[in-house]
Parts: sequence; C-alpha cells; structure tokens
Amino acid sequence: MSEITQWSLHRLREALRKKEVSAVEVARAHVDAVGKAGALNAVTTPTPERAIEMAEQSDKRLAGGEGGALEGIPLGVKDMFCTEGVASTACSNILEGFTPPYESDVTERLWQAGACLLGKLNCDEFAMGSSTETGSSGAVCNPWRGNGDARLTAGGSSGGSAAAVAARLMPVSLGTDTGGSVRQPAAFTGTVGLKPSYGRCSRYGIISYASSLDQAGILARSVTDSAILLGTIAGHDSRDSTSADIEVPDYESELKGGISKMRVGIPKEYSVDGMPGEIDDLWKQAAGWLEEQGAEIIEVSLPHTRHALPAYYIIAPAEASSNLARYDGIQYGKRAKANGVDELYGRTRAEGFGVEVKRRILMGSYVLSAGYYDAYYLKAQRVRALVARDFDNVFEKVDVLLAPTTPSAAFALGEKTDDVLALYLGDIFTVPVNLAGLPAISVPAKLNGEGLPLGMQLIGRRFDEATLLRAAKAVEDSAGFDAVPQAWWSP
Amino acid sequence: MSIETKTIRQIAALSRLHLEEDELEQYREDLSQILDWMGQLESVNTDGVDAFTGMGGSLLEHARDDSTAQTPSPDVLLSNAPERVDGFFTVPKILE
Amino acid sequence: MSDAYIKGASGDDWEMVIGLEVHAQIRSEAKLFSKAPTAFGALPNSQVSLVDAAMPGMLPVLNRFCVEQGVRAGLGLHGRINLVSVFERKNYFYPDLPQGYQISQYLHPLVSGGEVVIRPEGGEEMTVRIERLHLEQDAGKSMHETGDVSLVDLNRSGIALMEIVSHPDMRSPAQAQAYVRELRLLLRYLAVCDGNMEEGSLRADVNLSMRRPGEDLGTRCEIKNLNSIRFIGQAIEFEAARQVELLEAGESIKQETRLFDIHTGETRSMRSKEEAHDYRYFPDPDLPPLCLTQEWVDSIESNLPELPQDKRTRLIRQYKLDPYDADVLTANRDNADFFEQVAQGRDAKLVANWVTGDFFAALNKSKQSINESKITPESLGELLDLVAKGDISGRIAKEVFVIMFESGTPPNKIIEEKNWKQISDINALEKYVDDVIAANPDKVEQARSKPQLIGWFIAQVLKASKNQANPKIVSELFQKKLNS
Ligand SMILES: [Mg+2]
Ligand SMILES: [Zn+2]
Repeated sequence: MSEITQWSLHRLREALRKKEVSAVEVARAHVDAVGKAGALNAVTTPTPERAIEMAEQSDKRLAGGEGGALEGIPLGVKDMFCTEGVASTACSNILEGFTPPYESDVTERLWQAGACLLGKLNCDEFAMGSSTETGSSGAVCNPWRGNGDARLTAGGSSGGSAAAVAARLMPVSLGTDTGGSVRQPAAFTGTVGLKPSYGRCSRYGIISYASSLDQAGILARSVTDSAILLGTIAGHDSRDSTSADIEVPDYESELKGGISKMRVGIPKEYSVDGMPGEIDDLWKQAAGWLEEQGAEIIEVSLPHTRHALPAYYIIAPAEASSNLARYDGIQYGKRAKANGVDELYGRTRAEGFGVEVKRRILMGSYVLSAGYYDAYYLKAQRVRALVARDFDNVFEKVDVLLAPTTPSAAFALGEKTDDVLALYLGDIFTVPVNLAGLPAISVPAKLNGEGLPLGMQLIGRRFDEATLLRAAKAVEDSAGFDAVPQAWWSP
Repeated sequence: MSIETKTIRQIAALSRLHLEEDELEQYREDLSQILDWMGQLESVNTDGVDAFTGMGGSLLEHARDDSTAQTPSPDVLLSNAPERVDGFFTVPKILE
Repeated sequence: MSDAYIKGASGDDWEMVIGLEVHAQIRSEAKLFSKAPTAFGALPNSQVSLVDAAMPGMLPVLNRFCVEQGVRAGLGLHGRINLVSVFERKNYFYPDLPQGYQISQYLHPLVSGGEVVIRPEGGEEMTVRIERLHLEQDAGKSMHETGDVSLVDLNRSGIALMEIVSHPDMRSPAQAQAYVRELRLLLRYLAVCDGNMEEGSLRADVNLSMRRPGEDLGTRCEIKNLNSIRFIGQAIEFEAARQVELLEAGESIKQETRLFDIHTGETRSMRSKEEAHDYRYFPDPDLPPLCLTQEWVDSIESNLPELPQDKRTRLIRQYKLDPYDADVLTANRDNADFFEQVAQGRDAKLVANWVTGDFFAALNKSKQSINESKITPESLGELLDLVAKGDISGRIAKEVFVIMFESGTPPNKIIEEKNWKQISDINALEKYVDDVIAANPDKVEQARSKPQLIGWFIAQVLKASKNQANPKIVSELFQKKLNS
C-alpha cells in the first residue's frame, strides 16, 4: 500500500502545493487502492481515467501556481449525486444506466476547487437504509472486523463513502444525510461524519429521497479535513429554493481558538434501554475531555426526543413516495415490457425498486392517503415542530450538545435485514437533528471491547458549523483516535 | 393495528407498484407492525402546535425573475429515454 | 326565471346548476418553476428544461412575475389576497406528468373569494361568486392519434396557470358563456393572460348537475378542457339533456369526468380517469410557504388598470353612451382607449357611431386589430373635425375614411387631392341652384304644389358639384328661391 493513501486531505494539500508529490501520483495511488479494494464493495462506478485526466489538469494549474482549494485531491461521491457523463443511479435498478447531462451543485464546487473524481460510491437504494445492503450493487463491507472475522456493516446509507475513507481508498468523500446516513456510518467505521445545517449546501442535482431532510454530508479522517471540505461545498445556490443565502465562514481558520467557556449540553434523553454500558461510559468520558479543555457541562432535556423516530419514519417515506413517482420508465431509466400504460408503471416500478424502497413508498402513500393524513402525516409534522422547539429551547442555554452517535457499534451484515423496526431504531440519536435542520458531526472516540470504533456526536445551532467544528476538534484532540483497520481486503 | 389486504392493494395501486400475492401479504405485515409502532405519536400532546412548515424562510426570497434560458436540445433531453419516436417520449397507447 | 328551466320528456321542469373551473395561462416568458420558454407552437420537446422533464435531483424555483400576475388577477376579481399561501403536490400518474405530481395550491390558495359581474345574452346582469384562484403548473401533452403508441411532448409541462374556480352560481349555458367571456375580458385588461382559447391559454372545465326547482344539489359531472365559448354552450346543452334523461328514467348520475367530442357535440366518460382518485396532497417540501407583504400587494394594486366593469360604467356616465355601445367599446381595452382619445373634446355619440360602425366593420372585414390599423385616433379625429367645420359632408367623409383606412393618408390631403372640399360659398352655390332652376321650369312649377320635390333639386346640385356642395345651404337656397 502506498504511503500517500495514508495522508490526510490537509497533508496532501500541503505536499501538492509544495510539489513534493504530483496530482497524478496522488491520483494513481488512490486509483490503485480502489482497484484492490473490491472486497469492500465501496465503489460502484470507479472512474480511474477521469481521475487521472483531472489530476493532469490539476498538475498544470499547480505548476502555474493557480490551484484551487482542493487542487489535486482525489475523492469519491455517493451515487446519490448526479455527475455529468458518469452513471448516477442512487444504487437503484430503476435508474440503471442513467447518465445525467448535468452536474450537482455540490460536486460542481468540488471540481471547480480542483478535486478529482475517483468514482461513485455505494449506498442503500435511494439512500433508504442504515446498513448499505439494499442497493443494486450489493452490500458494503466494513473495513473494521474487530476481534472477530464476521463481515460487518459499514452503516448506511452512505456506507460506501465511509468505508472508502476508513480503508484509505480516498482521504475524504461525500455522502448524504437524511436521518443520520453520514454520521452513523462514520461512527461504524472510525471516521468523521459531518452533516451541515439544512440549507447550507445546495440539494440541486442530489437525487431526492426526503426533500425536507436531505443534506449533503462529508466523510473524512479528521475534523480539520471535514472543515476544509465544508468550506468548498457550502454556499447559496439559486437553483434550490431551500438553500440559505448566508455567508460561509472560513471553517478551517475558525477551528482555532479552543472551547474555553463553551457551554456543552448533555441531553439526558439520549440514553436508551439496552445501550451498552461502554457507550454510556464513553459519553461521560467525552464530557470530561471537554470540561478539561475549559467547557462548561450542562445537563439539558429534549423531552420529545423519543417521538422523533416515528415522526421521521412518517415524514421521510411520505416525501419519498412522491419524490420517487418520477421513476416510471418514460423519461429515463429502466422500462419493463408491458401492455398499456398502467401495466408499464406497475411492472417498471415493481422490477426497478427493491424491497425497502417499495416498503417506504407504500408507507408514504399510506400516511398521505385520504383518511390517514391527519392521524399520521399531520401529526408527525406537529411532533416535528415540537422536536425543533426542544432544540431551540436548549440552544438558549448551551452552544453545542454532546451525545452518542449510535446506540451500538457496527453489527453483522444481514443481522437486521429481517427485523425492519430494529434497523430503524438504530437511527434514534441521529434523526432528531435532521427533523430540526441542525448541523451535527460524529467524531471517532475509541474502540470498544470488540475492537470496533465508537463515535461521539456533537450537535450545533443551525448554521453555526464553526462552533460545532471547534467542539468536535476538542473531542478529537482528547480522544487521540489513531486506530487503522487491518487491510484484510487488499491482496 | 392490522391493515387489511384490501387496503394494501389500494395503496399499491395508487403507488403503481405491481405486487404478487405473497409480497402483498409481507408488506401488509410489515406496515401493520410499523404503523403500530408509529401509533405512539397519538399520546403526544400537540394541541395548539402548528405543523412544521420547513426551514427555508419565504419562497418569494428564493424566487427568480421572468427571464428564460436555453433548454437542452430534444436530443439531449431524450438521451436517457428508454424509447422515443421523432423527438417524442413514447408510452403504450393510451385510451381516453 | 322559469325560462332558465328546461323540460324533460315527462314535462317536468329541471334546473341546471353550473360551476366553472377556468385554467388561464399566465402571460410569462418563462415557466412557473423553470426558465424554459413558453412560446406557442415550438418543436416537440424543444422548450423543456431539466426541471420540467423531472430529471433526478432537479428542483423547482418560483417565477416571481407569475405570482405578481396571480395577485393582479385576484385583485381584479375583488378577491382576498392571502399573504401566506402554500404550494402542494397533487400526486397522480399520467404520462404527460413527468414528476408524478402536479405542483398546485390546495389548502392555502393565493386568492380566496371574489366576484365577476356578467351580462348574459338575453338575460339580466348578475354576479358570479369566485371561490378561489390558485397557481399551478400545466402538464405536457400526450397524443394518441397514430400507431400503437402515444407520443409525449413536454413543451407545456410546467407552464404557469391560474386556476379560477367559481361557485355553482350559473343556471344556463348563456350565463356560463357570459361568465367566461367576462372573465377573459378581465384577464386581458389586466394583461395577465392572452385569453387565446384556440391555443389553449384559456380552458374551462364545466361542473354541471341537474335538479328539480327547489331541490338540493344533484350529483355533478365534470366536462374537461373546453376550449371555445361555443363548445361550452354545446357541451352544457348536451350534458343537461343526458342527465335529465337518466334522472327521469329513475337512474342516478355517476360522478365522473367527461370529455366533449367537438365532432359529435356529445360528452362521453373518460375511461382513463375512471379509478377513484386519492391525490395525497401535501406541502411540497422543495418549496417553502409563499409569504407576501401587504406593501407589495398594495403596490401591485396601485398599478392596476381600470377594469372593464368600471370602464363600462364610466363610459356610460361620462359620454352618455348607451349600454350597447359601451359594451362593444369595452370588449377590448384598446378599443376603449381608441374611442376615448377620439372622443376627447368631440361629440362622443358621433365618435362612438364612427368607431363601432364604419371603423369596426372595416377592421372586421380586413381581419385587423385596432392597433394594426392605419387609422389613428388623431386621423379619425381630424376627419370628424372636417365634417363638424362643414369642410366636407358626412357622405364625403365616408369615402375619405375608406381611403384613409387603406392608405393611411391624412384626411386633409385626401380632400385636397380629390378636390372634395365642400362648397359652402353662397355665391358659388347660388350659381348651381340658379342653373338647375333655369334648366327645369316645369319642375319649378310642380314644386309650388309639391314641396317634397325639393329633394330632387338638391340631388341635381350635388350631382353637378360632384358631391361637394354643402347640402344644408343648398336646401336653404332652394327653399328660399322656390317659395318666392
Ligand atoms: Mg417520469
Ligand atoms: Zn387545475
């Protein structure tokens, strides 16, 4: 394994600027790593030629001293992002072969900044899942195996993005986070997962799952790297009516300054029955780290936390059932053989969508249909207002919140495929953040007794990613997490 | 709460998902279980609480003026279409 | 109003209850949620943005101009502008609806309430109440004519529409037709819709039910997409008769959507829309609520033009026009403007006669609009002034007008070139009169007992003077000379 692939984004950037290494060398090293990591199944559509080509352009710009903020940095993006001329399928058979003639806003910003595309990354079909097992490309395997040798989930739905960064196939990657899909895989793979505030990044060109919750997210191996990347992908876009027209701070320089006097809330409801004691212990330990660095720890209450999950599983499928109505085999994508239009719809969608997607479409149609709308959809939107109000209240007293990212470490692939509800319950700590549109980050904090990573989550005020990242950096500094998975996948 | 097969059949038809009998039964069971679990929301007091209406501010702030932009050529627009005829998308004949 | 009832085969009276949903295309350059152009008659699928084609990840962005036009229309209807309205998704599958949903407004429309005053042909002035006006996207078009496939053109997909829903206040085809005419006129005055029904920029859905006088509302059928005022009348007549026949046979009406066949004049059930609908409306999560400020609405209101109903009333009052002339002149904002410019400081009744008479007849014959004509308010005014001054006779004026209409030459110049200036000089005219008297002694004799013969004498002078003699003076001269 090339040493270059161990480097962080930050270090690569320095090396490229100082011409210690060329962008093409950097790209080749990562293309090689991707090529050898087939066993992880993290990359669905590798784009090695494009990566090298883009790197050659980067080298020209670097030679002329005019590189962008990410000049020569190779990375992959979740298959939820539309990338011009590269298949973009949301890991669904229904979009088989779909090659968009357009680029998502967020990825456009990456290429503008000089980054190179290594490939499209595996995920749950239409980002609906928490284990990256439901997509058309099959399951992603977590690079971590801990003390056992079972194949574990890398989490989901951005499992490919997390596994690729954890396995050193790329320094950073993009995922999307609708109910925890960046933070939970980050926790399961020992990486940093950042979900920006709703509206911070444009949704233009991201294949929609649940529009009021979807947000692009970042997977990285350090808080600094995630801050650098956020600075590139954040910003207003007039093509998305929910994109916020507010200033983007220089997150990297905002990292300095420490957390002295920062008020950190500990929401007591983020503890559930059956949660391993080691997660509780880690939580207390992390609070201690922050206190040592000068923060004030305050216990707070978010009383509607436990209602967030059922509300989420009403609202997200409702939006999804409508967002996915466009996949019908007429304008693009897969089309089944059929007599008549209704059969065309029914068969195309039956053949094109997988089990979990169908389940959510049915759920969503049900909660929106006549007679059930008030009891489910409207009720859920009222509960959502209460969940958001809880956060508003505590953010009058504290600057960030500290809580576990997940109630467990990575579980075995296949373990929860037959128990839908158990899988949904794994999102309990991540979902409230999406309902309220807040920024949050998962930072790897330690390995558990089985040798598997555990993450701590920090939640910030809407659009105050700067404070959030500073707190995350403090946790990272104290945790000193430097474990690396054994490269068992590499021949 | 148990959903009737008839209801699932209706929902599947509304969603244009062709389901075999065994699938219908599986989804009936799944949805019954999930909706049961969602039933806990009933106990939440939401009296006087307005439904959440998003975080985007007012739409008018995000609106644009009435200027036009070049659209993709029909060739590009139809480049991903599974079937097409003379610049049109096609579907099996519709009887009105 | 027993004449509003129709009789069934049984001899019973039946009353029609009619409500209309009118879809009016907003006169915008770009679509409601995309920048694709809206021009009529483009090549198939050549005015379709990635948003209109529902490409994955594409998002709607609202056209502010369209909202403004909706507010203008709402104010013109005397409706209430809702400062908060919400775009919702109406979910259903149809090949001309690429998103699988139409973005429309449902629980919270842009405008609530309003009214339109109509004057149905042969009936009395009445008020039709408006329930709401909301903004929504149009669908594409599917064509089923050829082969074993239907073709889908998305050029119309996403075009901005105002849906204007009336209360079921109408009781006859004439009322429904008058309503659409008046609504179209209003929208044209406001310049928010061009009202071209043949091009589909104004379409009406008719909701019709029948009841015996005094009974509760019956079950209604909806006749979709009528694109001419004549078809509205025909469809209502056919559908009313069909429903009465069923009801009198003791059958019930099935609530359904029906199509009007312009070739047979009949309505028929739409097979494709038979299934029960459940549109699963919910607020579009891609679009935050639409919040307007009262100041913005006020500024739009202060820029509204005079509305047809107000203009009509004012013309009658200010120019003492009869209601018929006022109606004809206000049927088009340009006509009314033209009239008022000419009428400035002139005999309004005379101006109205000229404008609605010779001028409109000529425009009709040449298929020109008032703005395309070579006749300007100034040139017509000049012509009328020449008549008033006695420079030309009314008869010559009509001939001058024909030339003006064709060539655009100023009336003065025409009169000069043709040497048509009226002769009012007493000495010159006396010579003509004396000549006629001298040449016709027998007639002079007869005229003493038959005073009506004076007309014959005048005609001789006009003939001799090539119509240039001032007939009034000539008449006076004859009267004096023949009676002396
Ligand atoms: Mg479609
Ligand atoms: Zn409509």
